[in-house]
Amino acid sequence: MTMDSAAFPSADEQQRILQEASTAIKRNAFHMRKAIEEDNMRDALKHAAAMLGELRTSQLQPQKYYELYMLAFDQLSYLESFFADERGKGRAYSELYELVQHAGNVLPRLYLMVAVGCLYIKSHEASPRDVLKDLVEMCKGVQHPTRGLFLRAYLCQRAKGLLPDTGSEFEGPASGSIHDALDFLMTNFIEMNKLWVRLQHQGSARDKEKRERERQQLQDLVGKNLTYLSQLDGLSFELYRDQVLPRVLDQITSCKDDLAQLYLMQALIQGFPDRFHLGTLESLLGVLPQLQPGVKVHSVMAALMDRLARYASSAASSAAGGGDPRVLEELAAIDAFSKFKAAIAQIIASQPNLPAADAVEMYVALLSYAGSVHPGELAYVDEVLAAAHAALGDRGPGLGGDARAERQLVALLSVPLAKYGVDVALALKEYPPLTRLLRYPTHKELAVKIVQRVLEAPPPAAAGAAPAAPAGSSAAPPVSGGCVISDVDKVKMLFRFIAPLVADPDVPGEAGGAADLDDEDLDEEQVLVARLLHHLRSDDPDTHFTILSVAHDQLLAGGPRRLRTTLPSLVFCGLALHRRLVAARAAAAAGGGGSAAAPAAAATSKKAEAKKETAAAAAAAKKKEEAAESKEGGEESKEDDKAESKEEEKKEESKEEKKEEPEPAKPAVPLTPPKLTSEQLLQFLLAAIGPLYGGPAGQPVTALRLLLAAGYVASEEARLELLAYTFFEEAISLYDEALPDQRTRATGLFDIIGGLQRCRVFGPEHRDALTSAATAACMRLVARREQCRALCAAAWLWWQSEADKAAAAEGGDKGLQPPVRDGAKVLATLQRAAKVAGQGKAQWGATGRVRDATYIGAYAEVIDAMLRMWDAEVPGIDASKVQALLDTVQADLAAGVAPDAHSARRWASTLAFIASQAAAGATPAVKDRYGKLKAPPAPAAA
Amino acid sequence: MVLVLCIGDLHIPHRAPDLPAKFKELLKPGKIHSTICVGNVCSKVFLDYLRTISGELHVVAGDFDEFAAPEQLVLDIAGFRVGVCHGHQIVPWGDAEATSLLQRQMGADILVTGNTHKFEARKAGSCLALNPGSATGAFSVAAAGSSPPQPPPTPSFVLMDLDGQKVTVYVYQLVDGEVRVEKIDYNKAA
Repeated sequence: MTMDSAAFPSADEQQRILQEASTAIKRNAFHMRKAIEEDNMRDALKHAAAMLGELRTSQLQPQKYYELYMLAFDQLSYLESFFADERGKGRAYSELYELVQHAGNVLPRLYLMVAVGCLYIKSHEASPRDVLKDLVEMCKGVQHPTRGLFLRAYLCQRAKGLLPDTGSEFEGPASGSIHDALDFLMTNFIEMNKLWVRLQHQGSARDKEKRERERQQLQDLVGKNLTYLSQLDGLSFELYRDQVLPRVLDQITSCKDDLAQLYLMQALIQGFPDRFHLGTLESLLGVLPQLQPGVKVHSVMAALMDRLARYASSAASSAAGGGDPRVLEELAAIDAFSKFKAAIAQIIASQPNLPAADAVEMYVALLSYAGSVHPGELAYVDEVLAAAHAALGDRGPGLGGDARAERQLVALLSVPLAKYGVDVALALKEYPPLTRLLRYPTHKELAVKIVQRVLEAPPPAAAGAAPAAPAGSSAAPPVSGGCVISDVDKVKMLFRFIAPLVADPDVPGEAGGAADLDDEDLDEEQVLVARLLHHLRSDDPDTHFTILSVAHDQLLAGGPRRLRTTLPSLVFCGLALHRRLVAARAAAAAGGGGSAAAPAAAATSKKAEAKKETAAAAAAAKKKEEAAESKEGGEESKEDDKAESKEEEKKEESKEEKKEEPEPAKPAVPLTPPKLTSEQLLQFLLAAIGPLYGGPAGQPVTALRLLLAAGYVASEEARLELLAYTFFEEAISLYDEALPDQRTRATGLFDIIGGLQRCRVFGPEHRDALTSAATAACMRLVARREQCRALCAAAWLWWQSEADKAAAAEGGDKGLQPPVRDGAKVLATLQRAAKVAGQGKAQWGATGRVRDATYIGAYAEVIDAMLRMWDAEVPGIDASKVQALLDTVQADLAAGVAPDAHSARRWASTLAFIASQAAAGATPAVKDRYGKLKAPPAPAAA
Repeated sequence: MVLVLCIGDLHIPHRAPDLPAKFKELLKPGKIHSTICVGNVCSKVFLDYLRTISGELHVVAGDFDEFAAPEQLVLDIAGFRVGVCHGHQIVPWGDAEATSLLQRQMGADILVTGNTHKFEARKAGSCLALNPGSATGAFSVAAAGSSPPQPPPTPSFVLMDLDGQKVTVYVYQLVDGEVRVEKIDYNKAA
């Protein structure tokens, strides 16, 4: 032992020793081969022994020693064939076996004995059992780790094909059985492992790490024994279980060496057949907690689970092609999952210093095991997540600041998403609690990945071929792809999955919340949530509305700065739902009655029903708002949820009842009208837009546009006059009070006019109120040119299209007023515009500035508008009115007014238009009409 | 020959979650010389995305855009005067006469507008009025109450090939999950 712990000479010195020893080996080998040629047994043995004597050095590190060993090993083959020749000449192996034992030194003697002994067995002259036993025992004489290891490696290598394995030529009553083969390999293995473990004490303590690396390179010398064991034909499961495994495990635990334990456990798991592990799982798992604290038990554990998972999945997939279908049953029967789970828990409990990341890695492996052995059974996934939470929960947020562990946990949480898809994974109740162990920013990164998955998930292959679902609760994915979450509970769950994207951290002071982001970054992040909203929907309008309400509550809880980006999307989801709601009602009405009179009847009963519901819905909405406003709203909103799900149940019940009614005409699809009403939905949207008017969530420009969109839908689709009025009224107030600058005011006004122009729900009273407000708003623009443009547009408010006459005849415009076509009002508005242009002229007269000569352009604007009204044959617009305006401008230009370039171009374009219509109008009437106008030729283009 | 992409009314995230994946595959950078966007992109992310498609992006503001962009643009591209305007400013919405008045006022050979979410290519006199439709097939407010009810807008965009006197319009539409391409030829007035 004293020699064991001595340091090796320096690297240079070792190199020199190696060189000298190599030279000596070559020299002796030369003499040995010469003696062989001369058939001189005595000299041959003498030089062979001298050659092998060089292997006695203890000055070399294992790697250098290995070079020397290989050199000698090659030369030994000459000697072996010489021995074989000698036997041919009548010399018995028993005699040779005797002869080599006279070698003076123990190491050369043992090498020579192995060489002859193996030939002796091969010749069937000796009993393999006896010789092998003899050799494996005698090798104990060499206890130096390096020398002993290589000697036994030689023994193992030579004896490999000579074992009395079952069915081999060396098996027999006298020559031995599988038990002897097994004993030989086991003994050699145990001895080699002891030597290998002792190798760590060689060399100085200084470069321990380097030595351990070197030692690791020799691991396969030891492992070869196990490989040969596993290759024995006679090794039955029982033999393995009773003879091999206990002894190997005993050696593993008793050697107390990190390197050996890890390597041998891995070798055991990888080396022996899967079904052996299946039958000895408990023994394997039982040994894990007994391993040294420094052993990476988690990787052993993971390797074992991976191995069995692969076994199960390959057995399952090849079951059709003659594989073993019982494997899954067997694994289930021994409840391997629970055994793994318990073993992991025990390892974590018994190793307080086990890094959290390693613990998580085991759960990742367990999860993939569960996925292979119990495919599609989410309960197992939930169990893994719960177990991981139980094992890691007390390490605190962010797993105690362990970044590697957090990354592993993210990997664990990503497995179900990738394997089952987000929609399915949303059923995992244990998922959200586990995400709470991540730090807020890490959880947010995961949340972003979840959202991206929903947005981009490839559509499931089966669903692609399926036709559109009937009035179920599912919904087709959007044209951009991805998946749709159509179940209310799953939507609620999704918001828990992605909590950091919708709300600030609930741990005070934790970083990463909205307060830590500037507007642009927060917007970019919230755009993801806004996009996600389009993936939360159901084909059933009632369910979809519940989903939107859930989403709305969640968004409100996230605070005003997030709402700026997310609310507009919610509103449009609502408007899109409204369109489908109207279609569903129409379909239900058509399906129920089947006659032309039915829609009207359904519509009236709908109105009555709607009125009843409105009050209740408003009350519910108010309650919800309160719940969202109060900070500790969690409890209350839970109650709300319960109420909602009860409502859901009721809905289901009522559907069931209706389904039972016989429907003789249309048995195919039971169409019940949705409970949701247009009022309910539009009221919801009106309330939803509110926060955008002003304050911290203020987006008045967007709010204005949303109000106009909703107002237009309320008018044309819902045909609810008062609600439509309210939307427009709010829009006009916002225009008056909140729009920031002239430009947004001007464009906003065009939108108000554009929307209002097409609305036909308003009776004269409301219409007048809105149109006069809009016209008055035109005059509140500052620039005369803008006033003029806006008034020209506003003139159309009194001239609505009659294009839908055909639809109107079929009752398609029920609830709408006839199109407004009031020539007098059109004319009055255009004349007002002309007056504004005239005021512009007065202003130019006062200032004399060229920039004020833009009034020419304003006149051109009015003339263009008037020409269009003339073309539309608005009563009261005639050639004289157009001519009067043309004359005014011509007179001013003749008097020397020099308009700006833009106005000049406008004027020229108007003149060119008149000329072209007069020359080549579409109809003779047009030609004739324009031909009557007296206009100067258009000036050549500037 | 100059390839010009005309695209607009994405309304992401307001009305649509994303561009159709098949459109994204087609809109790979490198082939297109310039991009005209008629507005209503609605998010910075997708405005940046449009910038990646070609060397230059000409964009006007839609009614739901918050980034700074002009209301109208008149561009000179390959000898054509191309007017660009989102079109929500046109009263009545989508009115053909009103659109050609705008074209006349802008002095444009080609006027590109959006807003209706419906592809349209119309020749009026010597001028071409082009509407690429909505690239995402976004919800259209203007379709409310139409009788009979209109199906959801078909996602579409347009590639214009400007070559001397000739304009070739390629319309890309996503119908039943497949991209359908149509080709329409125009000649500048003789």
